[in-house]
Amino acid sequence: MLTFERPTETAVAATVNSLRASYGDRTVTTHAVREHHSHGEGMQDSALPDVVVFPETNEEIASILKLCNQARIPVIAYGTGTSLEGHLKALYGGVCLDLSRMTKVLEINPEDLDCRVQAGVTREQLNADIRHTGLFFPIDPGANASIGGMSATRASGTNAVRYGTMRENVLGLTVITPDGRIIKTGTRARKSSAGYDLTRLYIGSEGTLGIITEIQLKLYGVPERISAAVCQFGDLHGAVNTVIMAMQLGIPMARIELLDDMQMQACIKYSKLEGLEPKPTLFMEFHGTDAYVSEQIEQMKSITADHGGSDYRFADKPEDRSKLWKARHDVYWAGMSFVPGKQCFATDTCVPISRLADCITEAKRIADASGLICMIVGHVGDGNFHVQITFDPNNADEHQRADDAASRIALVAIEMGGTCTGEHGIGIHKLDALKVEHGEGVDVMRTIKQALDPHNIMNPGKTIPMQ
Amino acid sequence: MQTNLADFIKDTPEGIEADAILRSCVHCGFCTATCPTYQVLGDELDGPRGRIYLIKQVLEGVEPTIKTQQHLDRCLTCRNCESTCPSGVEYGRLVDIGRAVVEKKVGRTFRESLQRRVLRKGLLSKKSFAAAIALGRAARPLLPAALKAKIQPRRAIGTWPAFQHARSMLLLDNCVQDALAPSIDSATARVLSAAGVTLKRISAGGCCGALSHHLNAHDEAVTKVRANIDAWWPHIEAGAEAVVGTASGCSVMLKEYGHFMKHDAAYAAKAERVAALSKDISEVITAEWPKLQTKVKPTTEKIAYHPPCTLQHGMKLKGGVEAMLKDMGFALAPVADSHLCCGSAGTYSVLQPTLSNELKSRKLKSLTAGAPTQIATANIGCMTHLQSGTELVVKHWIELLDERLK
Ligand SMILES: Cc1cc2nc3c(=O)[nH]c(=O)nc-3n(C[C@H](O)[C@H](O)[C@H](O)COP(=O)(O)OP(=O)(O)OC[C@H]3O[C@@H](n4cnc5c(N)ncnc54)[C@H](O)[C@@H]3O)c2cc1C
Repeated sequence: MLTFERPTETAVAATVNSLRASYGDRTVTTHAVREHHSHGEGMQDSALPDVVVFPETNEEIASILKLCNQARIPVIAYGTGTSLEGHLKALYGGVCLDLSRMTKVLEINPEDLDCRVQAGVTREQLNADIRHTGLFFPIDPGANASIGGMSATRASGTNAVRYGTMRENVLGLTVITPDGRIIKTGTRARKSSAGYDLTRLYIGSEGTLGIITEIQLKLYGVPERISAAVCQFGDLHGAVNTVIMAMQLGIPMARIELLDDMQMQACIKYSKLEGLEPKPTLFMEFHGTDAYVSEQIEQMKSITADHGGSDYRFADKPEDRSKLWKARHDVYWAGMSFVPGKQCFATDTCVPISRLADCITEAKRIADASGLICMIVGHVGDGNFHVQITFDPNNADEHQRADDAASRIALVAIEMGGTCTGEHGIGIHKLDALKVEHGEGVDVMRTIKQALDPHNIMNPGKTIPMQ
Repeated sequence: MQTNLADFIKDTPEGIEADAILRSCVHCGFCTATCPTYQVLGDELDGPRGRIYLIKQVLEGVEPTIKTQQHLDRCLTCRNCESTCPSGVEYGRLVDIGRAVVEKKVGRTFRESLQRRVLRKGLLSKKSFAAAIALGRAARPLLPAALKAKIQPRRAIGTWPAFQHARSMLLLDNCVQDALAPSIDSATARVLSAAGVTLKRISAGGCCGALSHHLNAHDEAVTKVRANIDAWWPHIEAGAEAVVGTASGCSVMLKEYGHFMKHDAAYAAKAERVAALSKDISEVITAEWPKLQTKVKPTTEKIAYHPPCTLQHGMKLKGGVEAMLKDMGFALAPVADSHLCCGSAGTYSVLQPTLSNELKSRKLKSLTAGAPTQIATANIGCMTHLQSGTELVVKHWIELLDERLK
């Protein structure tokens, strides 16, 4: 069992004072700034940290952690605040470490296809900074998240079907442990059998084991040809079965994203998409040499035709492609904008590809039965999809129906051999589902947490159920 | 965004409008990336999303503080965020409402009120304008003395065309511009005359009202607007085609007369009509361009053009001036980040000198990067502001067109 007690006001005040003495203006206690750091996106439940600090170096973070560890003050890392599962809610107050000042790209090694960045670098900043090398970093959650936050949530995105998730793309880390040690995990080698894989332990740990300050990342060459295409379907089944077949046949899709009719309706309005109808739709992208891309497109065309897909609308020019993928990245905002004043949160199930159609069908049935406006969108090539549920948080009944639908959809995926979260993480919303998914395994996770963070100061109450 | 406005404002026209605007915001933060003050200061609360959040809190009953007011004051109202926002959040309106409420609750220090009153009175009266400018300067210790002299490069005014055409348009008698650069209005009159239109100068309120409005002097603004409407009305009834703004900062205000006077029974309908007739000079000239283009002596000069925020974001008039300049043969030097504000923003340059200067030097760096021979813009505020930081001549684009008419 894990425990944590909210620190006393005196302990907090003493900590704030010594932080202020060391970091001056970079120690902020104004209500507005604390509020901004009290929540992520999705379900807007928030709780304020007592103070927000903006550290600039590994050493500063190490001494802040030492201080907090001694005083038993909680520490919550903050990247860009786009996480969706209540990760940032300061359940017990404490110190929020905002990493937005640690934005240096420390090294770029084009000859080894890797780079090292500070945790506060965002994915868009990284890609802008390495553009001149002809390389790119493929992981692209819809939001312009920080690489630190993406590592901490084991994030993925539309490119994961081809390039993997943060799990596959981090070679090593610098981590500050709660007792203030600065450790380096991994190496620049592409593989290693040296001991426990600490890199992968910290990836996805949601700030509960230590603070990630530097990340060594894999990079990829920009393909010779990139072609994006949109295909619309008469029904959802046609679209989903197309994806399953493409994956089973091993077509090396770079991206394959599903949007259902309702989601398309919202995106057409929000992202001002022209010439598309509110129908189930696949956004696809093919990477490779000219001939290879043409070949993939031909194969894909024959599959979509068999499933009632429309002719393709291609986006080959970079600006058209960015518009298309921006629309995809903005689905969450499109959903919220579609029903002004409501909130939106997303389920995140991921199942083996053969069960994708069953899982989507069942999820859609649950969503429809909730009576709430729901939209389906997903990185379906991985078997991962989201039901975006919109609801009025001031209406207890709607709130309850939204919660119920989300938990039921998670359970359906677990029963099918899948997971309650493909990429967003556990935070506080999926603690129960984690127990169902991992049973005894959760006890082992708790043992690890206790060993690495004995006073439970690192983002307490998240990721691992207290009991 | 969820809202729950407090009783003090909930059922007022401002409250209802603010509520609708807040609800349309999904707090995605795309605005933040394009906000000039966020780029300089890097603080969430100095970007539109943070400011929207602060305003929401105040309207929901949280007591604002001096800090709240500072964050709202630092906003340039350039409305770049509106151009970026996919949800169509009318930030400009919201920040006006928020500022007024905050000013009522927090007040102003004696020094601030005095500065604001002097600015308003000074700028509104042509005679004391020179004095006001000097006062503004006094509040800008950062400005090197050597640059002060360059701020009002007086150009020859030239003659106002005497010929009376059948077609006519009305000119807003421009408070700031008339004193600073009378050459702009006379250039406009000559260009319009070449297109077969007489430009009639009508003096009335002496200002479109924008200045008072942005300094939260609502009643004063309303008085100006009424006076202008009264003065223009007989000419409009007699067939004047348009009310022309030669400074984009004024044009955008003219277009908002309808909205501004919506709750004034006596003036609402007239204001609506004036707003409908209001045109920025770039719109007028674009419409007359086929006629005028043939009369232009071509050039190959390389210039840089700065589109004012009121033109590109406020009125969403993008690309029009650039197209005409290119038609005249000008080579337009590429300018990075042309969507960003130069820091002038009306009286902002006086009230927020540090930020304003930082934005000016960034803007001038990008404007001069392509080695132009001069700089063109479309608003007197930007023009004088930029001029104070560069050796190059900064002109209104209409002056360039006037110079090139055969
Ligand atoms: C519109 C939208 C679309 C999204 N699309 C996707 C998607 O396609 N795929 C996807 O995977 N996610 C997606 N997300 C979720 C979110 O973007 C990811 O979870 C992202 O990885 C969070 O990064 P962040 O920098 O915002 O982290 P934050 O939200 O700031 O933090 C997330 C968690 O990580 C911890 N943390 C942050 N930085 C560090 C650090 N340096 N060291 C240790 N712990 C740290 C925090 O304490 C917290 O627990 C989306 C979110 C939005 C709003």
